[in-house]
Amino acid sequence: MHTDLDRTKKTSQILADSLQFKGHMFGITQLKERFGGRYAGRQFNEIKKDFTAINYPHELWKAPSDPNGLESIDSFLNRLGIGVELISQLSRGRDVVLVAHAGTIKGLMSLKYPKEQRLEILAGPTPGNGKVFGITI
Amino acid sequence: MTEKKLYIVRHLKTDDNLSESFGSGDRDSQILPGQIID
Repeated sequence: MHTDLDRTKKTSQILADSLQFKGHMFGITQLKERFGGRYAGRQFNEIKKDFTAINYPHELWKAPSDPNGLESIDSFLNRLGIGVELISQLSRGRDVVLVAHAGTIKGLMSLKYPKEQRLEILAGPTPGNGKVFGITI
Repeated sequence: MTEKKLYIVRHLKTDDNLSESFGSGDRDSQILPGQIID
């Protein structure tokens, strides 16, 4: 499975080809990256002008939602939970491989922790491209 | 419901995000309840 963004579709196709997987690959829109609102698609150096207390891109998770459309943490984690539920329904008892985004991965990993610890995980280091994580659903 | 494993892979670098820009990269993105593509 993947999100509806090209980078996850392309990566899942590469993975499927390498594994000779011929089954259907679903796109789960709820698992895409945090919505950036007006900041979407902009470089960190540009965004930083509006968030002077933030020094590194992964610290943007400490930025609350704002009138410019930056998605709130609660909204983001809520839709991830919906996405996991959809995966659970679609998987029919089988294990699943999902190609997703750094924020999605940290968000999914954070859901097994109490709410007050989740921001620390989200604002933590960004997982590298191609890194694999596992959770039980 | 039976427990199952969800393996999550971070996407590879592809030509739509080489610049590492912020967010979904989909400015007009919206999600409808229960929406799944294809």
